[in-house]
Amino acid sequence: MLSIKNMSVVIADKKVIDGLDLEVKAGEVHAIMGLNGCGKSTLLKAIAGSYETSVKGKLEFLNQDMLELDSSARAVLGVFMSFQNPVEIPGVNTTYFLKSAINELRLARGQEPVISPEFMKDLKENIEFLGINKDILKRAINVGFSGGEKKKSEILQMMMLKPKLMMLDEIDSGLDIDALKSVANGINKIRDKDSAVILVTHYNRLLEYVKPDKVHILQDGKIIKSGDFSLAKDLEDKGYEDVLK
Amino acid sequence: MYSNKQVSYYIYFEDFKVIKLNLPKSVSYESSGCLVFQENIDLNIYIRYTPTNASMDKLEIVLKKDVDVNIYMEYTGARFSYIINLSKFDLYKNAKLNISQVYKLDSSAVYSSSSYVNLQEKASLKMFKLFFSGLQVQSSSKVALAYDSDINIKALLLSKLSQKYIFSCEVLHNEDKSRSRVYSKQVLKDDSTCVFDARTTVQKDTKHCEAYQASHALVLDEGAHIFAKPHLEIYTDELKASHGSTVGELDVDAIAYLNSRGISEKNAKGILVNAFINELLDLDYEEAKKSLLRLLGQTDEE
Repeated sequence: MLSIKNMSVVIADKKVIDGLDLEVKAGEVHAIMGLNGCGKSTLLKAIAGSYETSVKGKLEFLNQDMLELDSSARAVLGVFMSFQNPVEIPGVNTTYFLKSAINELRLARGQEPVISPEFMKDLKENIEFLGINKDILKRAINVGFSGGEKKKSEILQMMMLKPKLMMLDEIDSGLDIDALKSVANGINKIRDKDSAVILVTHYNRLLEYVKPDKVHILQDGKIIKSGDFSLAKDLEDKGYEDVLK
Repeated sequence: MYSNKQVSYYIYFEDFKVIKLNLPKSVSYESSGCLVFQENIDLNIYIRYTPTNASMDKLEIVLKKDVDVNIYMEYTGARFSYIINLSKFDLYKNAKLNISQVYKLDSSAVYSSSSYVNLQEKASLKMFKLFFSGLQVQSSSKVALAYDSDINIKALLLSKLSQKYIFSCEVLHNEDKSRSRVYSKQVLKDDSTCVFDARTTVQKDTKHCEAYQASHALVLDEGAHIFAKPHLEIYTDELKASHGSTVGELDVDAIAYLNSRGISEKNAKGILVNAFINELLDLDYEEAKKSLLRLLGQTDEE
């Protein structure tokens, strides 16, 4: 589904990813772990097509070369990234934004615009599922949202847009236990055999709820070790220094 | 409160002569250009100007005591037209006027408007001005405020190509408890220029006046220029006052965020510009708001 070979990424004039390889198949959950500053977020930004990144190498999604596509075109293909610190956009109502995004995706895919009652029904179901206060739908995107609301809003967007590749950048940071469970439930609700998940995280607790098929350790811009869920447990027990000996 | 009922009364001018008119008995129009509202009636009035060439004329609007009126004025201008308009607004005690003025001009038209506003005790004027067409549009207002009167002027300037829009306003607080708010937003494209020039004077020996001015500009292209000069002259100590000006570009991170959800760059910019101006379009007068949104929809298509 996602194929990365010998990828290098420069961000803010610094080479952060250097010769990275990664294969993600449909239906899989991958966890990317590593010390602060090792390039985890940059990797996701590069896959999502962030304007901040300059990318070389091979980056294919669903057999299409992604390097030629901007981030909106990648979203049309089904790529989604939740931001670690989502930007606040004053004046843009969250519901209006969600409907606009869905309709642009549908238009680009040759589909009819979403019917309002259908959209509102889907939205209502998802906010109830995530335990989100419905007031945020009337508010501007992320403006005045608490940390937990921002994370849940990102998952709500993901549930509404129904992407094929879900990349979540430290979605568990700053969440209380209940919020973490509802975020994990949201991820599990929409993932299926045709979609894939990449989780960037520092901790095991999210992985307890969203079990990864593969865990990768990123260091100096490369994946230096891969394994199954037991690798994440080892990291939690022993730390990076011991595991990477 | 202002009524949101359908516009049912109107005056259409062509070359500043009345060509069509439907007014209630309580409103008189004199050929000298004076429109007088006599009674406290709840009205929406639509006024349309269609000058076809070089012309100059005046309109005086008088609201007698306690009268409450909504007016939507549209100025259209033909190709190469050059128009000078003088307006006078005279609001008697406790009168309330809510007026929206839209300059819907040919791209070659030049328009210059001067308004003189006199608010008596406890009178209130809400004025909204939209500049989005015409080669050069200049609007200047002079406002005199009496005891406990209130003026709220909002101006939205949407300029493109080589358009030049000038909004200037002079407010004089003559008596206690008078309040003024002059608020403008500008969105500039291409090589266009906008000017915000406001001066508010609070007279000596007045008390408890409030005076606010703000200008916020969104500059979308390098060739565009904004000149903003908010200016307060305060000759008393007991008042509330502030003034400020900001100039900025669209937030690249906000664009990137919208892009990441599948919204194209062009549409993302459109959403952010609309977010910037929507605050000013939130008018009490629903018919005016609908007309403005229709007009802005047309500009988006251009």
